[in-house]
Amino acid sequence: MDEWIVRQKIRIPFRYTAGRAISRFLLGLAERRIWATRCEGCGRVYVPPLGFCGRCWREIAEWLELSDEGELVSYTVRPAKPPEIFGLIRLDGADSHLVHRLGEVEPTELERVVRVRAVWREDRTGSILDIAYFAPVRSKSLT
Amino acid sequence: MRRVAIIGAAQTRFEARKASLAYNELVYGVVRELLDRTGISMREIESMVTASQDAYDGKTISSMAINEVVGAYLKSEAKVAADGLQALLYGAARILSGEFDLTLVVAHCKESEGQPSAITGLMFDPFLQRPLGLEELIAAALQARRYCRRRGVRPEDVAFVAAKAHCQALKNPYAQRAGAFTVEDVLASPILADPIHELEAAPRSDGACAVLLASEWRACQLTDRPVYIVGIGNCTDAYWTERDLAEARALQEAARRAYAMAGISDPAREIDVVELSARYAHEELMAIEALGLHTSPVEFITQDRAPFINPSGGPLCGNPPTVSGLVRVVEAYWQLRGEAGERQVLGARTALAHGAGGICGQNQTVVILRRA
Repeated sequence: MDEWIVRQKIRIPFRYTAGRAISRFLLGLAERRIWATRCEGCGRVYVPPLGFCGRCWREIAEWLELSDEGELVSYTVRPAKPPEIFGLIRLDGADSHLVHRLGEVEPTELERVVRVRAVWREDRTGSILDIAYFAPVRSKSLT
Repeated sequence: MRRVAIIGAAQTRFEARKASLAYNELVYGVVRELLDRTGISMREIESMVTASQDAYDGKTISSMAINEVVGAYLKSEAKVAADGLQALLYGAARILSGEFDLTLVVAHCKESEGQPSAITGLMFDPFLQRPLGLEELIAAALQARRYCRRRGVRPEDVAFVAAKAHCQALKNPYAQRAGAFTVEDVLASPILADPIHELEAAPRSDGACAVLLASEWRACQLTDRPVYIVGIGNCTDAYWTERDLAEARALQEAARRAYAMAGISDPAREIDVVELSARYAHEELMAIEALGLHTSPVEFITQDRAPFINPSGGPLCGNPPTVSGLVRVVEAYWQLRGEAGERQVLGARTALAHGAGGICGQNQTVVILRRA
């Protein structure tokens, strides 16, 4: 049986509208700030911010700033050279998760990592990549 | 209330690459087989619901390529760009509306044609997630670790699910991947994204399946052994980053609705066969818990208790996306008709078919089937 294969690539230029909530978040990243929203119905703090709470089905108007540190909820390592590490992060005070890359850590150390903080790029442009990656918080003082 | 019956089902063999068949030829083959098995002619079928995805087909409005081979010429066809079990749900609604007595539900996908990681990558948020290079596998791995940590599930437990599935698939002539694998074999297979090993993730597959739905009175004219849809539940959860990935609340709720409709109060006793759309091994454990089959899924699978989970081997042994949920119904139908060959669960009377869609199972569907 003949197997005639036609090879093509699909390229679609796109202009995604970030919208009000995500625009504010991305512009905040350029200033090393992390903006979140808080639903007045259920009290959930969303970061990345949502302008609308699906659980309460209501608009969210309250904005607050969070620190760039939080708990590493889960991680995965995709084998590559160097290995690619992804983390699911709950920033302090947030009820939702941010996904990002993890750095300054060996895959074998990950199991012990509890807290992580953002490592910012110098040249920030209003992109999720303004955070280069999250790195483990090594020593925690209790003062 | 009117009832919806299933009076025919067919599926293709699942394969990594069906290079000689175009979409329309693949779909024609499975529809042809369904009609040959049932002896019903295309003239009698009044409406069609299809399931396919534009991105996998590389074509906007993917159903245009298969409208004619599903027999929709001058008939009513609608497409679901989601899991095939949702197509069944809409097909059943068409029958229940009273407008149609025979509706064909067809799902197809050739995952081999487009680059799968690029296609699943398009599911993610373009502002915050796509720039990081995410694909479905990464989200599944984040969920697997979260769930296993939270529930104290060990790597060997997840590997056991995968080993069991591949052993069961040895009896399924449609399976793409099967083998008498051990837990050690599974854990020795390459890591795709830690903690998920190759044998713990569904392979990339090409394939199609079809199910013929009928109103109760028409079913009684056409067959003496109809299988009835006695419960349907569908539920949507929050976006994957806005919920605890260790929980499967949408599946719990979908199951609750389906059980209520079917009058099931003790699913572990009342259901004989369960076909789960677990595309990653840990999802089977999550589903056993969420479906209320057992509070300790690890204990459940290792004790080999009834009901039988995935006698077909399930998605780990072949899983064309979108076909996934609908083929669970094909398998359940054969089980309830006593036509499941070597993998037949003896005396099966009630079956559960599960379908999932979205990132980390955001959308869940549960269908309960019972033989007359």
